[in-house]
Amino acid sequence: MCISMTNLKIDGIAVEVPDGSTILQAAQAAGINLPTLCYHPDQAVKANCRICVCEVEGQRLLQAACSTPVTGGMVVRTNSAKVLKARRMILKLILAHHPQDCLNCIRNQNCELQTLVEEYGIRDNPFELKLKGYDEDNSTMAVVRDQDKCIVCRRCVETCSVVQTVNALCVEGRGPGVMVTPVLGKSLAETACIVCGQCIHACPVGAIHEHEQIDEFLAAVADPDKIVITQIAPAVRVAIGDEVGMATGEMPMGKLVAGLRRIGIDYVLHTNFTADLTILEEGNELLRRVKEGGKLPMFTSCSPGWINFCETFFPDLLDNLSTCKSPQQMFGSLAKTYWAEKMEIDPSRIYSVSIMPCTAKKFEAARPEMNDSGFRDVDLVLTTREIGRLFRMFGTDFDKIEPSGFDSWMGKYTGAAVIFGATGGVMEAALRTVYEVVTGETLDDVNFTVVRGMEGIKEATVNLAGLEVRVAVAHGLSNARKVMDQVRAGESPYHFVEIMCCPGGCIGGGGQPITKCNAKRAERIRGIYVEDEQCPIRKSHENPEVKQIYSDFLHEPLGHKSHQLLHTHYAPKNKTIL
Amino acid sequence: MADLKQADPSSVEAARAGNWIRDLLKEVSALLERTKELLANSVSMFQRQETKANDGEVNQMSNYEGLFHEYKGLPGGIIQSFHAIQNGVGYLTEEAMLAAAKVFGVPAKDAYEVASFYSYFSTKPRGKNIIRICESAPCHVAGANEVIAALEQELGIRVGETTSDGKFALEFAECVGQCQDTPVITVNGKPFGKVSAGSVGEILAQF
Amino acid sequence: MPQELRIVLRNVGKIDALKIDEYLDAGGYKPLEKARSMPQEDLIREIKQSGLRGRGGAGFNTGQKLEFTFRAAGDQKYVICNADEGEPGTYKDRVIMQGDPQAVIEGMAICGYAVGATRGYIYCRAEYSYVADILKAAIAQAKEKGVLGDFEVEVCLGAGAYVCGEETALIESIEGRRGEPRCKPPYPPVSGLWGKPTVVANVETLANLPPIVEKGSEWFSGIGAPAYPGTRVLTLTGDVVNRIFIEAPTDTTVREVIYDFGGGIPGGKKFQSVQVGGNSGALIPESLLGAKIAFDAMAAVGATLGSGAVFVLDETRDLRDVVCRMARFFEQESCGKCTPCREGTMRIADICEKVSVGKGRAADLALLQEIGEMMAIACFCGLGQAAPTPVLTAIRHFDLLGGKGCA
Repeated sequence: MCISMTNLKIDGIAVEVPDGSTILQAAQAAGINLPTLCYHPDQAVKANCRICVCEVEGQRLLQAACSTPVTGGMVVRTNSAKVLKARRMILKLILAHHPQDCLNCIRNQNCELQTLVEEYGIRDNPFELKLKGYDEDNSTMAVVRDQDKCIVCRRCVETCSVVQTVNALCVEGRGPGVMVTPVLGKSLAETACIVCGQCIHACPVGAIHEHEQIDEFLAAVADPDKIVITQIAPAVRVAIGDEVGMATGEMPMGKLVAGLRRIGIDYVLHTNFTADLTILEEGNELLRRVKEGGKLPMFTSCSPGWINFCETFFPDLLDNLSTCKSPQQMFGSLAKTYWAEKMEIDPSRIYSVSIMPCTAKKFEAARPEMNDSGFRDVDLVLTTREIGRLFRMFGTDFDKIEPSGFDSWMGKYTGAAVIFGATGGVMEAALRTVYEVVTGETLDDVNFTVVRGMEGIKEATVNLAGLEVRVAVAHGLSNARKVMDQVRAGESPYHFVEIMCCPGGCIGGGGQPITKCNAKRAERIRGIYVEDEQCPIRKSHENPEVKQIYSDFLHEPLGHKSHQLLHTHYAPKNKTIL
Repeated sequence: MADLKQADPSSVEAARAGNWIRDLLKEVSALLERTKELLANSVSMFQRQETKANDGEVNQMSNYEGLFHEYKGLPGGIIQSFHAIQNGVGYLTEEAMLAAAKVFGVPAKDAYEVASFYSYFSTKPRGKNIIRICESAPCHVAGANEVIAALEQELGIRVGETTSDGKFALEFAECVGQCQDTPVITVNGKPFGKVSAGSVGEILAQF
Repeated sequence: MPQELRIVLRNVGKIDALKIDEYLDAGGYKPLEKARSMPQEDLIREIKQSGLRGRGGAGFNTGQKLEFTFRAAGDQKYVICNADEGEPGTYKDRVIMQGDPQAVIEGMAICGYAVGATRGYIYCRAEYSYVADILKAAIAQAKEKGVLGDFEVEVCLGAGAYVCGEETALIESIEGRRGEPRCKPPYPPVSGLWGKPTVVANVETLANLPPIVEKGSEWFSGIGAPAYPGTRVLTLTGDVVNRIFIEAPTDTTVREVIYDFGGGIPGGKKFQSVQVGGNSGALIPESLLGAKIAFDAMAAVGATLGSGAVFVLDETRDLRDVVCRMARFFEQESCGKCTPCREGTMRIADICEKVSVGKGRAADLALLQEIGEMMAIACFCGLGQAAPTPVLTAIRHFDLLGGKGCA
C-alpha cells in the first residue's frame, strides 16, 4: 500500500513524513526532541500547555507541534529566539504557581516539569510565587492527591475517564482558578475512584502519588518482636530495574531477593506460590460452575482495582466473580496459619509485607473482611516504587550483591504464576491446568499465545475433550466495561473472563515505576514471557509446594479449609457519584 | 438621555447635526420602550417559577427530571436543563446534577464540569433574586463602583454573598450588552440601566 | 458631515419585530426566494464577490467560509448564528435581533441553502434571554408562514461565558460541554457541530446577506472601504455626548465616529483615548483618529475594529485604573484551558493592579510587555491572543505609570 508523504524542513533538516503527521511527529523523525508537557503518546492531543510551540514560516502565531498537521514545503523552526522566549516564559508562569519544594517532592528527579526547567536553564522568576492553597487528599489511603502541584495538563482526567471509564476526576471552574479535582469537589474516597493509580502514571509532576508507607516498614523492621516476611508479585521483578538503574527485565530474581533481605526482611517468599494455588482453586471453581450450571461467565478476582470497579459499577454482577481471593490475600491468610505452623513461629509476631505493582492492593489489604487468619492477613503493602526507594536508601549495589534464594514452604513457583503479571496470564495459567485436568492429557505446548498481547479484548475458544470453553481477556477498564455491559445485557458468549484493571495487566499497575507509555508496558510483558520460558516448571499443578500444602493442610481444592482461608465475598459499594 | 448641547450651536452644520441626532435619539427611545414592553410581557427563562420554590419537594431525582423534561431528548441539552433546574430551585444541587447526568447518559464528571464552568450556574445555594452588577469598563467608568457600594450598603452584604433572609444574592457580572444605559445591573436577568446610588432602593423594592 | 447608511438596520425602528407581515411587506424573504433559485455555486460566488467579511471580529471572507462548507463532505451540515455578543461596550447584535430578527433568520436560511445545511442554531448568550424569546417567536412565525422551506432553526441559550464567542468554544457549548475552544484545524466548515461541516457567522454578518442577495455583489462592494466593504454598526460608550448606536460605511474615520456621530467629548473636556473593538481592542491616541474603521485600516495602525464598540475616554480618566479593569475582565473570562492564558491573564491583572495604585515601576511595564507579546502568539485561541492588547497599546501610546490625565 502506497502511503502519501509530505516533505518539509525542520530547523533546516529535510524530513519526509506520512500525510497528516503532526509537526511533533515530523520533529521526532528528524531527530529533534521537542519539549512537551500535556502531550501523551497514548492519549488524545490536548495542546493546552503550549510548551511545544514552534515558528512556522508565514504564520504570525506560533503553532503547537503536537496538534498542527504538516503541509508540503512547510518551514519550521523549533528553537528560534521567539520560541525559546515563549517557552521559558510559560515555564516561569507554571513555576510561579507551583510549590517550590522539589527536594521534598516524591517526584524529585523524576518530574517532567523539573526536567524542562533544568533543560531551559530557568534560574530566576519575575513572578511572585502564588500557591493554590489546597490541602493534600489522602482520603483513600492508597492514592494521594497533592492538588497544589497540579499543572492542569489533564492527562489524569483522560486516563480516568477514557482509559478506565471510572470518571472520578474532573476539570472544575474556569480561568486561573481552573483545577483538576475529584468530581463535585469531593474527597477522592467519596467519588467512584477505585484507586488503580493509573492517574499517577499520567501525571507529569507530583500532584498524584501513592500513599507512601516506608516509615511503617522501617518501624516494623526495627521492632525486635516482629518477624518481617514478604511476598513479591510477579510484575515487580520485571520492572524494579527501572528504579535502580537497570534495564527493564534485567533484575535477576536472586539479587532481588538478596536486596530484600538487605533492607531488613527476615523471610522472603513469593506471591507466585499463591498464584499457582489460585489456579488450583479457581480452575476447579470454573469446572464446578460449568458442570453444575453455576453463574457464568466467571470472572477472575485477583485484580483489586477490578473488584472495586465491579462493586461500584456492576454490583448486580458480583455473583459472576470468582470467590477466590487474590494471590496476595491468599498468601496473607496462609502465612499466619500454614506457614507459621510449618516454621513453628508465633503468628502474632509475623508482620506480613506485600510488595506489589499496585496501589489498589493497599486498599485490598485493609479490607475489614481480610482477617481470616485471625490477624490482619496482610499488614502492609509497598509498591515497586517504594521498594526502589528503600533499595536506594539502603545503598544497595546490585552489581555486587550476592544472589539469594527464596525461603521455604511458600517460595516455589512455576512459569504459570509468573505470567500472572501480564494481561492474559491468569487465563493462560488457568488453561494450562484446566486442560490437563479435563482431558487427562499432558499439555506439550503450554503457550496459549492467543490470549497474550496489548489488544484490549482478546477472545479464544479452547476445546477440552469435547467441551468448548469460550474465554475472553480484557485489560484496562474501558475494555472491561464493554465485556460487562455485554454480560448485563445477557449477551455474553463466554464461560470464563480474565479482567485486569490496568492496561497491560499488573506490569502496568499503579505502583510500578512511572510508566510513560504503552510501549513500556509491552516491553515489560516481553520480560514476563521470557521469565516464564526460563522456568523449569510451567504448570501450576506441578508446583511441589502447592502439592505439599494440599496434602498437609488444605486437603482438597474448594474444601473446607480453602473456603475458610482462600475465598471471600463481595458487596456493592453503593456509590452515587458515577 | 445624552446631553444635546453641541460645541458651536450657531453653525449650520451643527444645527443640521442636532436635528439628525434628535431624530436618532427618538428612535432609540422608541426601541427602548418596546424592549421594556417585551420584558414585561415575555416569559423570560429567568423569572422564577414560584410554585417550585420548595427545596424539599424537588429533592428527589424524578422531581428534578420534571424541571428539565422538555430538554430530555435534546443532544447536548444539559446546559438548557441546568437553566431550567436553576429556575426551579435557585441553584444546581448535587442531586440535580446527578439526575441530569443520568438523563443525558453522561458521567457525573461531565455534568459537574459544565456546572462549574459557566457564570450563570451556581452549585451553592444563593438568594432568590439574583442581582448582577456589570463591572466591565464602560459601566466601570460610568460609576459602577458607587452602585456596588450602594447595593452592599442597602442589602448589608458584600458582593458574592446572599442576604440573611435569602431574598437577594449579589454577584459581579461582565458586560450584559446594555451599554447605552451605563451603569447597568440586572435582577433575575432583567436589565436596569442608568442606575445610581440613589435609584438602587427603588429597584430593590420591586422584588 | 458623514451620514449613517442603514443596511443592516434597514428595518430597525421601522417595523414591529414580532409581526412577520411587516417584514414581508418591507421586502423580506424575497432575497431568500431569489437565492434558492440560483445554483449554490453562483450564490456563493456572489457573496464572495460582495467582499462581505465577518462582523464578529475575525473578518474572514464570508463567501469563502460558505465555499469551504459547501465543498466539505457531510451528510448533515449546520449554520450557527453567533449571538454570544460578549465584548464589553457592544450591543449591536442585540439591537439587530430585537429590531429585525427575521433579517438574521433569513440570513441563516440563505447560508443554509448555499452550503446545503437544513438545520440552524442561534447561540444566544444567557444575558440576552429576553432576546431569545423574541427570536423564538420570530422563528415560529417564519415557520408558520412557510418561508424557510426545509430549513429549521432553533435557539440555544448560553450560560455566561465570553469565551463562547469563539466559534469552536461555542460549538462545544451547544454540544453540552465546557466552552473550551478546539484545535484548529479542523476548522468548523470541515468539522464543526457534532463533527459536521458548519458555518458559524455573526448576527450582523447574517443580516447583511438578504440585501446583498437582493441588490447584488457589485452594489455592496462599492460601499465603504474596498478591502472591507459595506457598513458597520457601532455602539458608542464612555465619554462621548451621544451614547448611541449608528451604522456607518466602513470608510468612516474614527474621528468622524466620535465627533460627528458621537457629538464629541461632553463637558468640553479633551480627548485622551478611544478603544475600538471592545475590551480586546487597542487603546489608541488622538494621532491615530484619522484611521478608517475598516478592518485592515485599523490593523494598519495597530488598532482593531473587532466588535465595533467605540469606548471613549476623556483626559480626566485614570488610564491605569481602566486598563486594570480591562485586565481583570480577561482573568475572569479566560476559559483556563491553555497555560499562557490561564496564568498570563492573572499575572497581567495583578501587575496592572499594582500599577493602578501607583506602585508600578518601569520593570513592571517591561514584564507586562513580555507576557503580552508571548500571549499574543502562543495562546490557544483568540481570547488569549487578544487579551494583552489593551495593556500593550496603553504602554505603547501612553504613560501608564503617569497616573490621572496622562497623555
